[in-house]
Amino acid sequence: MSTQSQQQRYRVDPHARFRVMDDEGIFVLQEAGEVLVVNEVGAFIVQQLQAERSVDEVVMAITDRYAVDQDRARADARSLLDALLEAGAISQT
Amino acid sequence: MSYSNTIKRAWAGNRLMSVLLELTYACNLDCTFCYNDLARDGQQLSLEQYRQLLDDLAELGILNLSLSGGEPLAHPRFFDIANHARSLGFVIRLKTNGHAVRPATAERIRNEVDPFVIEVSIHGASAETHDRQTRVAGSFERLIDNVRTMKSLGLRVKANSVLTRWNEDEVEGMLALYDELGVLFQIDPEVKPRDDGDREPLAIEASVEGQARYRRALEARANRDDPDIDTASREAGREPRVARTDKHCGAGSNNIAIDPYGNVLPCVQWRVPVGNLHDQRIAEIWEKSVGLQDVRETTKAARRMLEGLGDAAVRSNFCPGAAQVYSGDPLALYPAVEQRIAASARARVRLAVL
Repeated sequence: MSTQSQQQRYRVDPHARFRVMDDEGIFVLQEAGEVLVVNEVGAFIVQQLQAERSVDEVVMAITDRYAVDQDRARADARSLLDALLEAGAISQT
Repeated sequence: MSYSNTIKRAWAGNRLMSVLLELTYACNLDCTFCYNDLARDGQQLSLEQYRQLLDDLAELGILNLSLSGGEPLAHPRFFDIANHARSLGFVIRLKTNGHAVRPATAERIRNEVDPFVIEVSIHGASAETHDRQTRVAGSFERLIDNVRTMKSLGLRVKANSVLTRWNEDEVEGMLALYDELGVLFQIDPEVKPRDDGDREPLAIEASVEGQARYRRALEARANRDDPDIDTASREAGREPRVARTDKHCGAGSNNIAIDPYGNVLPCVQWRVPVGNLHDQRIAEIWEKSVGLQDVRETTKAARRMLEGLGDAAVRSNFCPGAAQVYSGDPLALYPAVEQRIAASARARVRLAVL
């Protein structure tokens, strides 16, 4: 992963709505008319994005909160971000 | 992970997800079976109270917000309220009769409210039937024009219809109209009494033959091999899913309704106030209302009662709120449900014979 992509910041896409409900996150994709549910870690990651944290900062936050090493956290975060980008749930700032 | 599981968990955990706001009972149409209790009176919530309420709902993490009425666009501060709701990131559903959504208003709704869906009321496949229901000449043509405008602006539109004796002979035409307009739809096969218990609207409830014709039309449409029919609409022709929870419905558990006078209701059908926003903030009502606790227990009792009567009863679309309006007892079966249970029993007998 390039330095640039590690510093990249994302936001909930303006055409999506996001809420954390208990331990999961719900995206409503307004244009597609679809709902996307992410688990507790996914919800945590999206909340970090909403706090305007970069990918690097999100990875740090994950390792601080969960018992997972940095490589695993980075790979999982990247995988989720790619899926959310493809779904139109988040976009680059 | 599935959204249906999220909803079931919300029912079980009393997690408020959806709120319907009846902003006003004012309306620009005069529908025969309007369920609103127009005699109800009280102190309307002010714009400041709506802003406070929306802030509180966002704080509670509410996802879905429906703006309804009467006709919500008839509220003089509709766009102020809707704008604030949008800024708080709710998934907004606008429930309107569509009459006032002329091109400039439709564009304003798109730009300022950005609703997930606009739900409009279509009462038939022809001007004669629709206008008979709304009692406003020209309302059908105007609505269809408005729906086309909304669609051209990229707005998602859903048609809400009630099956009645007046439109049951054109139900196939209604389905064709929805498809031609490219809208989602929901047809309620049951005319209900008004919120004040007045049963006058039942005079136009669909006949048994009309109900059967409606079911056949839905099945035929769902089975059609037509790529233009989207999945959401196909669902309308299928049997309702039975949620595996200990509650019959989410009334007071994951959803509530709020009338123009600040009365908090378990749902739009269940018109027993469990608190009032002139007296308490919504979070306090949600957490502490004894009435809401009773409602939640009643939805469990309803589940047990229906399961005791068998699968047909569980699948009968029994509504405790409607039961409350019919008899004052949210656990009492009412005519439309008894008919559906009986029809299901007759179908089982036929299957056994075959």
